[in-house]
Amino acid sequence: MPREMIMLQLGQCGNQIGFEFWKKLCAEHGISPEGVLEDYATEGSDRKDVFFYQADDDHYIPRAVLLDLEPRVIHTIMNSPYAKLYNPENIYLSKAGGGAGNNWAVGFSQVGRKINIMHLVLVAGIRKTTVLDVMRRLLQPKNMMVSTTHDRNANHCYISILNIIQGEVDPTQVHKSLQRIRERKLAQFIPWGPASIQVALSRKSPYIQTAHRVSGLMLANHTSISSLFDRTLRQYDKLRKREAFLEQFRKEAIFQDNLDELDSSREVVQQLIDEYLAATKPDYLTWGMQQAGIDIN
Amino acid sequence: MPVSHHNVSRENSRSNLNDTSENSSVNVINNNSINSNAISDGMASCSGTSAALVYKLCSHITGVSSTEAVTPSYQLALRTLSCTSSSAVESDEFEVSEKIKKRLVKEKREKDAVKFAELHRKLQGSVVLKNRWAVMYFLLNLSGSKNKYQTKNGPYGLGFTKFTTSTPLQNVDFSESTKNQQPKTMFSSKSVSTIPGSEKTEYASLPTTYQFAQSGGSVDRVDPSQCILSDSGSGNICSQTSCSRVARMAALFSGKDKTEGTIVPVKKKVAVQEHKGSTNLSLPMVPEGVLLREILFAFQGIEGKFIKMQPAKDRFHIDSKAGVCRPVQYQLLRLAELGWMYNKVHKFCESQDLDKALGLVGQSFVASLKEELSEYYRLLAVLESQLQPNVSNEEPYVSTRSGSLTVRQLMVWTLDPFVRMKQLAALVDACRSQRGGALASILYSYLHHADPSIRGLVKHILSVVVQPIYRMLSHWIFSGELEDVYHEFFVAVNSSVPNTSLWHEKYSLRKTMVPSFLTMSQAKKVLSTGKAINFLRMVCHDHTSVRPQDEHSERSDAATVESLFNQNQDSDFQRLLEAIYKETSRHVLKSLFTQYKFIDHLLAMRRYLLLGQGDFIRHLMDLLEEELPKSANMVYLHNLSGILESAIRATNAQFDSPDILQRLDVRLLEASVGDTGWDVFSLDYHVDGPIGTVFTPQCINAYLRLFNTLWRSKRMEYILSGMWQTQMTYSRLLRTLPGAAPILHHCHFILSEMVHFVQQVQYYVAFEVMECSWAELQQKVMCAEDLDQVIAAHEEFLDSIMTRSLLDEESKDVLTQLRAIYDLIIRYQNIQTKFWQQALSEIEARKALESRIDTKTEKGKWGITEAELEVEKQRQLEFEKKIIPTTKAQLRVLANSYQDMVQKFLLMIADHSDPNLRFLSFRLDFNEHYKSRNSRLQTSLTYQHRRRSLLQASLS
Repeated sequence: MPREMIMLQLGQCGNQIGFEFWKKLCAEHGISPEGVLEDYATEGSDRKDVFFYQADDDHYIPRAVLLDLEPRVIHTIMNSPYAKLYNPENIYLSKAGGGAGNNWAVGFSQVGRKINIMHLVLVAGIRKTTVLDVMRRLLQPKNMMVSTTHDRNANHCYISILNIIQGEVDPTQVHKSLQRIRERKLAQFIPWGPASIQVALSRKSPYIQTAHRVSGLMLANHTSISSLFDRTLRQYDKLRKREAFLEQFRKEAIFQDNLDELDSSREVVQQLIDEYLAATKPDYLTWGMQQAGIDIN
Repeated sequence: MPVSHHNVSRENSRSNLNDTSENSSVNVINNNSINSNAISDGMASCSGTSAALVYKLCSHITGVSSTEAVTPSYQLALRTLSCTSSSAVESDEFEVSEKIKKRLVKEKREKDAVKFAELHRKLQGSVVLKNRWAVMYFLLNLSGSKNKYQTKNGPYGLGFTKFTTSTPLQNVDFSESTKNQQPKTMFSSKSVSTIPGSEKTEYASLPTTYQFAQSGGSVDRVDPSQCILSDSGSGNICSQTSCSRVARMAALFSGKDKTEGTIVPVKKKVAVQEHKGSTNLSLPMVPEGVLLREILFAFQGIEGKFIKMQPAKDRFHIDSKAGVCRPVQYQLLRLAELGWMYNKVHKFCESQDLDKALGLVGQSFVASLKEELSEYYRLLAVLESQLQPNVSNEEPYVSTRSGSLTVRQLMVWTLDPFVRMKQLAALVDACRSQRGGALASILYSYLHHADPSIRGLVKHILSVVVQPIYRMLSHWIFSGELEDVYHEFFVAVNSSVPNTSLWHEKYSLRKTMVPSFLTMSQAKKVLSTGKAINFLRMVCHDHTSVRPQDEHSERSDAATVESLFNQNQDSDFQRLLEAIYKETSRHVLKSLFTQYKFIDHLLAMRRYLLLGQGDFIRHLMDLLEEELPKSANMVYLHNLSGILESAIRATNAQFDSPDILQRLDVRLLEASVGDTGWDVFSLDYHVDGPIGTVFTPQCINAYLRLFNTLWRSKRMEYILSGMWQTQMTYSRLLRTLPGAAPILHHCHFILSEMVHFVQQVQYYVAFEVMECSWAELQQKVMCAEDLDQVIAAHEEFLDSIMTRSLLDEESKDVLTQLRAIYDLIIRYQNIQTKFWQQALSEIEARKALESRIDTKTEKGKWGITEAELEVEKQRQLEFEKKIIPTTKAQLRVLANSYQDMVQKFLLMIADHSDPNLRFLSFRLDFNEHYKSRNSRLQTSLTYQHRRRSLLQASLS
């Protein structure tokens, strides 16, 4: 397969989510916990090789690499009925086995490479009967998995939205829903460029019975996420001021001489917050040009 | 009594003909009376006019003086006199004088007869009386009316009435003399008894008289001289009586007794012999029997002695010389019309028989006509037999009035055949030079007649005529064979068409030959059914299909033939056609769907030509990225085929059936100057056999055009996602490069705008164009009852996606605009790529310098010399002061023109008539970013748009 997909499951959270993810995926594709195709799914025309690859004995194996510094979650997985699903060669555990203990520097030294975290996004999921209902509710703050505080100083807005709708969906329904959302101005978009709700439609698995005809998932980039960073940054500043927990970091090589790495990280987060705030304003383009312009002079 | 009127007027006009120097015989008579009593008359005011004189005469004759009592007779007289119709009776003075003599002899007044002859001779010498014949004729008739005059009360019973009887009287004389050549026999009591005045006044008795006069079957011409000679002896007696009558009449008129003077001086100028030669042949009345025979001939379209054919005017006419009175003439002509119509029908049949290219329908029409004609012949035979016994059983001249056939009876008896023949003649006229279904159509139009007998006739003919059509039709719908040698059937075949386009081109509807009793939809169903059978046989090579329908064909009996044109909603034919049509269509669809896997091919089209198979298309693009930027003429098909093969092997396309993958191919479109591989590359899908009927070359062409436009937009998406990836990488790399940040920011800005545009276009095409149309197509294909519906649904599908993808004629400009936007994207790609290269080389130069400094420093030398520093500064300066500003300017120009282009594009699709494109404009400007920047767009997207859509709604 060109452009093959490999899923990296990192740490406690990543592996826990991943575990549930593969459970669900197996159920949807009619694959048993052992990786064998169920009898009822042999006639399926679904493409399983997007997420799985087939071993020589025709077993389906997830395209996943499991990484963790401490073995607890992965041990749970390996003691579950899904133990035989994964390829043991794709599971990596820290030899130290003790974990990083929430210490970023420890993790850094143990794994030995830097892993970039992508921008955080708002995630919401909903199951309902109609497309409009699903799409409307996805935009309601109470259904989002990140709660952000209301910021009076900035007019926060969506940079982009992706809705994945699953079930029996008539494309015209999607269109109507979008029209309704636009008319009622349910979503506030950036003022400096074109933006819209991107919709992806997906089919439902025939092997899983659900009570809802339509379900939806929204992934969105919203400027209000900056308030979350802002809060984190303020908490960091407090800790930093009191020099709390710093001893643990100084034990590691990277922080032995100074705490510059922490300072530059703070700087990155601050830049991110600033950019998010700038993106709420119509002059975002000139903001970017001027900021860079200052650098030149 | 109209008959008598005619007779009177006939006399008048006759005299006019003979004696053109005089005004009229009536005037002559009146003049006589004027001479004698004009002075004594009190009516001075109108004494000069002939009308006044007539009035006077009337009052004298009737003997009443009051105006009211005279008026009816006066009016009658006027009417009679003013009647100008021509007469069949020739005026012959000699004849009349002979009659008078005969009459006198008959009444045993031989002396009077001699006297009359003498007086008549004298009169001929005189010049005073010019209208001798008329006067004599008048007097003769007056003498005959003596009895009448006494029995009848009303003025209508007077001499006028006698005229009716006088005509047959002459006829009898004529015919008998003809027969016997002996005048003496005429005086036998038998012969006389046949002409009592009282009998003859009756209208119905007139033909009876003819009846027995018709003696030998054929009428011999009389030698008039014989008659004359034989009667000449008794002429005087008659003339005497006649003279006395004239005198009496004159006395009546004038009240004086001086009559002789007026008549005696008359001198005869015209020779008797001359009269004989010119008129005496026809003057005698033709006996009814002769006429009946003539009529029977005429019924067969044969002209007789009296009833002649006028070929120039195409009509029968009665010989003007024949002695046939006017009403009889009318009757005869009316009867002859039947013959005329028969002639028309008969001739039509004969001419059609000669026509080699007449066709089966025409032949059956002629056959049905002949059938009707033989019925008609049968009638004629019966009539003939009615006529014959009279001749054979009785003595020819021994007249009894018991004969069974008269003209009048004939009129009555032929009333029905007349109507029938008239209808046939009308049909013949209407159907002339018509053939096949058109002929049946015309006949059918005559079926809507209120007269049930005519309806029955037409229905019968139609059922015969429709037979061959029905045979062809059932042959066609049951076995798909076209047995139509004469091209009469409404399904035409073009045998030069190859089987590949059998469905679309080989068979067609001959619209003129569709019988009007079939609806167009029925005709189309008939066409489809036979076509489907042929399709199964020739294209699907399926020979089993036709068998189960044989049970239907056995039911094709007469009832169904009739139900063909006699149909209502659920007639036998309609049901039959419906059943066969459904059965055949179902069979075709089954064959197409199961044996030839139409649905699979349709899906393949969607997956490959309409880019539905995302992973395959993406990978193909990956592999082609090296090959296609080359100039179009440097791209080779065999290279591309190899790439296609590996794209299939590496993606989910490999799981498709081998048959489908075998058909998948690449094709290079015609290249124009400057085209690259991207412009000419196309996927292709080979279709043949039955599925080629749905995927016609036109359809494939549409698919190729769709592929081209979808491929282009896919490529934009591909380019942009590639640029996004490099941007992510480079933005990190270039962070160290001062001055590059604004460019990065701007690039990011432009890119996100472009990505948005292309994504929305892609989404619009994928979901609102493809998905919606596809769902419709699928539903229609599943519900389709015949192949035509499948084809129509498929064409509709292609049409709708072509239109919505801006590939129709109307959207040409919009598509050009879209292409221009795509061109900008490619230009942007070039700018960005170039800058990346420049920035990268700058970074590498700086890195190289640093590492050089480092290595030199390590060796304990100066890291950098003055000259090196100068070069370094120069290069850095050039990058910061030249490359960066140039790129900035380029980006600014590009961003501006891009924005303009998009806004213009939005304006264009807002003005587009297809409401579906509104989805696209709605998506492209979801957050009203462009609208807020362009005032024209604001009005266009709201006001004008709403008005347009309202207009459209009201129209639909």
